[in-house]
Amino acid sequence: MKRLVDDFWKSAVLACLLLTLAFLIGPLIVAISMSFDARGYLAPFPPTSLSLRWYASFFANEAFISGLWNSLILGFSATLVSAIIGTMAALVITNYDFRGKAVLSALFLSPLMIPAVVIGLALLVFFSRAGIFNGFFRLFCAHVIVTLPFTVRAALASLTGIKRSLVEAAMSLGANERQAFWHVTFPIAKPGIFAGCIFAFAYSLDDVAASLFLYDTRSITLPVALVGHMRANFDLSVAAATTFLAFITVLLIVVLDRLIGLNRIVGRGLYR
Amino acid sequence: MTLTKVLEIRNVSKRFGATQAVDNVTFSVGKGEITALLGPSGCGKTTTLRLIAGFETPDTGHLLIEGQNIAGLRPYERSVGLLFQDYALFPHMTVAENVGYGLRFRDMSAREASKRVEDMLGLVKLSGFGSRRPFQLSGGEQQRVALARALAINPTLVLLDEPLSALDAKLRQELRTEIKEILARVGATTIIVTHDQEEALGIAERVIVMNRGVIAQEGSPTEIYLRPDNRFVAEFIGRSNMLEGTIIRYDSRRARFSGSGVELTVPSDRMSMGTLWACIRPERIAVFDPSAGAAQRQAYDNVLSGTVVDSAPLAADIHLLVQLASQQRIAIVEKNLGQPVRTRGASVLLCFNAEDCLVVTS
Repeated sequence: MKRLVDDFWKSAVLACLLLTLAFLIGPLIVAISMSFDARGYLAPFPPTSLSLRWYASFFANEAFISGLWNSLILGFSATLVSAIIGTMAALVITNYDFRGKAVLSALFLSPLMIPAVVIGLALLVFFSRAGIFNGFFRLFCAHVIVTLPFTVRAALASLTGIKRSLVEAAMSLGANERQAFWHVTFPIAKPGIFAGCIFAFAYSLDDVAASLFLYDTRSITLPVALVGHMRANFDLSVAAATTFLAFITVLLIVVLDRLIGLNRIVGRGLYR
Repeated sequence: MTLTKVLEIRNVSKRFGATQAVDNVTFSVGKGEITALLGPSGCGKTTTLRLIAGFETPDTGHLLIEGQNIAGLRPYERSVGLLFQDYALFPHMTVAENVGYGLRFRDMSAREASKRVEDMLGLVKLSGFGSRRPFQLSGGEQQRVALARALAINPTLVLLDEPLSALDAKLRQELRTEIKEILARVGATTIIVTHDQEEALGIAERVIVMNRGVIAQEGSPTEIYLRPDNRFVAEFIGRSNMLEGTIIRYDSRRARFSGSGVELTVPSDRMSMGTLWACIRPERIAVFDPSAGAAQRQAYDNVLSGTVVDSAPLAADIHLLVQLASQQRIAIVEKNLGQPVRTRGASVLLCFNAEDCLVVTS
């Protein structure tokens, strides 16, 4: 009897897992396969024959391509600045004890709890009061803010894993504070900081909610352009665009993992 | 023998919030000397080490290395080599890079530096381990790398923080001898900070016992065991039977101690009024059957009778626990020489001389 109950639960858990997986991957498979559909209109799934026509139409669309460039430039610059600010914030939080420390770390993580729409609207009001109308600058600020929770959290996690004695050892051997940071703290925290960068970049590349409020005609990002395109005339170049975006993100993760993954394995050695 | 003083600590105090971690501590360390700071956790020994290394600044007092005041110097401006309790090897560097790290900040060509790294690895018997990563090494090997790294910069003073605490019992003994040999070979002036008396007594030539931020006693390992100054040292170093009581009479040579239900003859060299403790080391007590002859008994100044409560033959030693008529329990350590085992409930006589009792104040 007990055995039967066990079996039942086992199959129930397995079913849940498969269902979750199906919900995650199913739409992705549909979108990817539809992006290769050869039919010239929005036709039922599955595609009857394959072609690259939607990719051609995506790359031929000037609004998409300039949006892609805007998104990439924005993603890289916002991630870089977010990583620097995030790492510095994490360094202060891990190394010093001061009043309001908990408040500060909560503040840095708060953009994750506030809907991006709210942040976008708030920034829109703020920027128009401040007289800042450059779309790219406004988007850049917004993207740094919404990605900070990722970079701060990743840096915090990897910095708190570094024992104080490592830095003290470096200093007792003759390294000053700056040298100890670049020789010891940063190399050990690097994989974690990069992991945070990947999340930040993916989030930035994806963001519509905050960006919708802040772009101007010269700084339309790809997701914003896609939303606009979907409203006007829904065709499968949107599917091609999303597939392409997913491809870029995966490529980035693979490349970064190749670059720093080895280091991460080695770094793990001492923290067994 | 007068030694050049490498380190001098004068009236140093350090307070953390409500705790007085180090309270007016004064001591000095001579060139080439191995000194241990020994005490229970929270006694101020680690704070003292961190003060010397420069990770903490003293509230008051002076710290001098080779006569130079180092109070205002950053850790990297002092020539102090540190062996951390957790070794603190850099996980992203090879063994050779670890050992050579300190040489980056010294005026040294790349060839000189790699020669020095080779020499250091040879010193700790790890030649050929240079290209390995710390996580590929055993605990003992990691510790030797850390020692080589600390010694590579040719420090004026070497500080060892609980050097053996992370290792298992068998390895500890091996490494204790090894560390001692290595330190002797380079003639390093060393301070060992530890709570483990075996570590302190086994490596150091001089022991400073600390308790609650102050120095309880300073002396050679033998001195502090045989002549403890106070109750804390008597109880902390080795095992001891502590009997509370007072002196009831004394002459120039002997005194009579009374308390805890016994009366003992003790030496009269350290007399004082009020409550005292008689400290009797377990290995100083001879155990006889009650049938033992009068001649045998009369050879001892003190004879107590009791019954065996517990007998534990622990390999080389037999640990006995004997209860006296006064309910006071006495621990005894006998050599295990194949004598018949004393059973629980057996009556015994405990015999020891006046010189085997140490009278200490609290």
